[in-house]
Amino acid sequence: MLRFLASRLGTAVLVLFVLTIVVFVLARIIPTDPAVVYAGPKAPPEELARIREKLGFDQPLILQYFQYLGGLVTGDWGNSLATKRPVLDEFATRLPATLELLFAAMSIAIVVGIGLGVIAAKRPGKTLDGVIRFLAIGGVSMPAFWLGLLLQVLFVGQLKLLPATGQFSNEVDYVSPITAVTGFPLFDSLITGNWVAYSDGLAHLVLPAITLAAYPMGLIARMTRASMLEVLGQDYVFTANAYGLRDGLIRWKLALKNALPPTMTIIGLAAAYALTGTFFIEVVFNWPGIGQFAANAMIAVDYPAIMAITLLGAAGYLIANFVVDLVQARLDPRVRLS
Amino acid sequence: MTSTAIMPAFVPVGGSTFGRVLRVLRTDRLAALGLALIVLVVVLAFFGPWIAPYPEQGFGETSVGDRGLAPSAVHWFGTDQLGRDILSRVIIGTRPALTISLFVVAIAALIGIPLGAIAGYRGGWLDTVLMRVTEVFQAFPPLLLAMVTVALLGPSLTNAGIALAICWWPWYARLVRAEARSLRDRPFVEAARAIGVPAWRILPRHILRNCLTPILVQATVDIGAVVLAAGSLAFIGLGAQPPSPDWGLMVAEGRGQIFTAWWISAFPGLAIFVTVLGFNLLGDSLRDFFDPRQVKR
Amino acid sequence: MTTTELLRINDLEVAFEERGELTNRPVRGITLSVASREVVGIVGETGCGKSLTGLAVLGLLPKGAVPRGRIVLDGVEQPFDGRGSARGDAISIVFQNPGTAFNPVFTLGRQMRDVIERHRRVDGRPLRRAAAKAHILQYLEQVGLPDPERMYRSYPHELSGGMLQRAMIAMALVCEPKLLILDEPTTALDVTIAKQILELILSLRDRFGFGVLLITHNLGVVREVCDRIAVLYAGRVVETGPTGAVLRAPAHPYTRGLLGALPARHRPGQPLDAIPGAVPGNLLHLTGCSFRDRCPMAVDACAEIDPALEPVSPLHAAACIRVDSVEGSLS
Repeated sequence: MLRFLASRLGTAVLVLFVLTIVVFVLARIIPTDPAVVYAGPKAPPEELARIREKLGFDQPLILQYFQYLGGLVTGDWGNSLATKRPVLDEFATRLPATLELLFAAMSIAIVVGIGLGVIAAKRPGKTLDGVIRFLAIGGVSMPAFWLGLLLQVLFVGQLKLLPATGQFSNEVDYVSPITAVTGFPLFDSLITGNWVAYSDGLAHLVLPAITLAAYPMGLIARMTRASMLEVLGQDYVFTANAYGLRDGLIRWKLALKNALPPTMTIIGLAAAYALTGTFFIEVVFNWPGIGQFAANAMIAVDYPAIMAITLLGAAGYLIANFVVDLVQARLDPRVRLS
Repeated sequence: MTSTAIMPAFVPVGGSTFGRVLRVLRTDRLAALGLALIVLVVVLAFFGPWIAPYPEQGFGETSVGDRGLAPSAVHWFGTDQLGRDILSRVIIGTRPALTISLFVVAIAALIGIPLGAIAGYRGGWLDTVLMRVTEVFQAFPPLLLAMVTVALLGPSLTNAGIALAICWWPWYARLVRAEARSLRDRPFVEAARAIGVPAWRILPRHILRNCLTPILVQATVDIGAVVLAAGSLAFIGLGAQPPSPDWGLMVAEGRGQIFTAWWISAFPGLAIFVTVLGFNLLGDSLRDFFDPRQVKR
Repeated sequence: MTTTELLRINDLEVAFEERGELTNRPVRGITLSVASREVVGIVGETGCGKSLTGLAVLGLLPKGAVPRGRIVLDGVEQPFDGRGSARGDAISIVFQNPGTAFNPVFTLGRQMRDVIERHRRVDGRPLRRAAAKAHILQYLEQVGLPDPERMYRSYPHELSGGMLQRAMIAMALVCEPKLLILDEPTTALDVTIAKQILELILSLRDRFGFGVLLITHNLGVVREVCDRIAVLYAGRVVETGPTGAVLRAPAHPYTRGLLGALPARHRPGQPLDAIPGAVPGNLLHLTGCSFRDRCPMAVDACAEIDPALEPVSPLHAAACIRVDSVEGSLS
């Protein structure tokens, strides 16, 4: 098993390496001038030339690449052309917010998705199954940004139940500031007993998390249902039934454990969709995370930021798949041997 | 002893293909709904300019006097901040949405299928190279690569289309490659090879014909997926630009007035949803229809 | 030693319907009984309805099945829809393919514990985990598995077919059933293992005293293990009696044909006497004797009369109007 994981890691590193080349080349052969991005469109030509020299854009491409690679390894990923701060700093500051959002969304998606999938597989072809299938396919078809906006109109505009944007209200900083323990604000507020901040944070989290969860939930529900249907037709399920075991036990434990592996793969894919989904959700809800930063960086053509986003995005995806593989091996004893 | 349970089958076996299709449509309500939605969208795409009540506003003409009107009998979907009738804009926007989507899927398929077929059939270094290349493409979370490409190329609908096609071809390549590899060793292919049929004849006739159904299913779902992707790109400014009646763009334009004039964003978004829903519903049913294992549903 | 009647199946009929209409009737009236300590074999070709009979006893008929008749176990009527059924408890079943009958992602011990916990038996009290494990280990040993402790912790894919079948039998016995149903228990095993399994079944029967309903198409198995047999054809019992009597002196042309087709009975160089024709596909609208199209002794009357079981000797009965004309014994 260790060898299996090591080889996966090796491939991952190789892929990332190739990615750096690809992104670097792409960034350098396209029309937008990085110096213009840095200084703004109104900067005079001498200014642009000076910036080019200062940031090393006038040097040969290969040299720039190796400088970049060197920087990657030493932790210098360049400065954002827009905010002028080191890219990694931006990421570090914004990562907790995005991770909390992702965690909440994926939790909802997994619990609801698997639950719906198992329930739908109970009586395939009947009404409940049709409803759940519709919900699942609906979730996958819905533009996330649209759903977010609609939820805002409903819960903020009409019902006035929840706040519209941001991770916390501004007041929290004054009234009941959060002591940083792990760096994850919502979690910290929970473990320090800061209920004012925690409830405020939860209220802010609800809508973005639900919106982000819709697509993954749909994917997971569909896969779980299909997988369950296949498992329920197996001999061992028939045997369990023949031995009088209760329906609930058969479905939710005996069958589900067999149905989960393909679902796990989908969960990995769903997490990836959620990753890019944060771009849109964070824009709509003004969530101070990486997604917002990334969306802005794309529009502004902020190279260092874009390259960092690409690499980290791919890395994040690889990690997610890695975790999925681990869980699959845990679930299915037959995989461990191969 | 296998279970002899008879489960309700949406997949009828026996009878002509057309007959089976009809039976599926009658029993599987979701499939029928999907087909109906797609027909609606296609009709709007074709006849949009004649159906829309204010077609010229669909193409960009403004009517500042009618700014921000709520939905009414005159303007079913209301008007936007430039006075344009939203219903018309949504209808007119159908054609570009569907067109770009069909193009992207077509190009992705045209690139991916031959590459995948040759790589899978031939094997060897060709195959290895293809696999590595697609792995690099698929190492990205979906859409990220498209976003980066459009960001670097400059935002426009065309660039979005190119970027999306670049993102999508690996899936077709891998799909076909997998099929080609498994079919390559089947007896009927070996027989063809043995009697001297050249590869360029084997591929289309024997290999590709067997891939047809998975490709069809994938393409159906992808058309919807590309509409969603293109709309998403336009929403954050990386796709179609104003004054284009692009649905994603319209949602973005309405965002500023979301609490006072919700209809500006709501209806274009609904259009995306309905379109994608239609293709997904149909694609899902197609998948079950063609998958012989799933007689139990 | 007196034996009591354990299982009685009375006039069992199973039809199938689709959209309100009957499509087939694979079981057309089966009556048989099993006493405790008795091994009764149900023999027949594929499609004769023997498996469905077993399922009916368990209350596990598939959707679309329309059953009729009565099944009584130890005085308690068994429901056809499975509700309140004694399956897993007083009735256990061992399936043909042990490799797929076990859940691949749980250990054997775990799966057997689930069965015990469900039925909470053993002196009427629920079992704690340690006690359940001890109980299971006991049975794993009884079925002849080496190192029961290791078996308990093993996953199905780690074991061979023979071992899995023994484990399956252990699982079937863990709740101390009164009736054990075996559906083709040796078909998936190779010959030497099969023999061991059959011997195991007999010794377990002797030790624990349950009744056995053995479903098979294999006459060799039947001869080894069964006290009485019922020969099924087209959903009916066409012959029944003590194994020795039936196999030595078959009274029904079908049984005779089956035995005559055995390769062992022929000298090398002679063609095999297969029964011509095939089992009728749809049994809904049969008139007269179901075997007449393939029967070497059919007469005109066979098309009119649907024969009932007539006794040939005190314990031996056959359903044929020409029972007296069948040759006495096979050489």
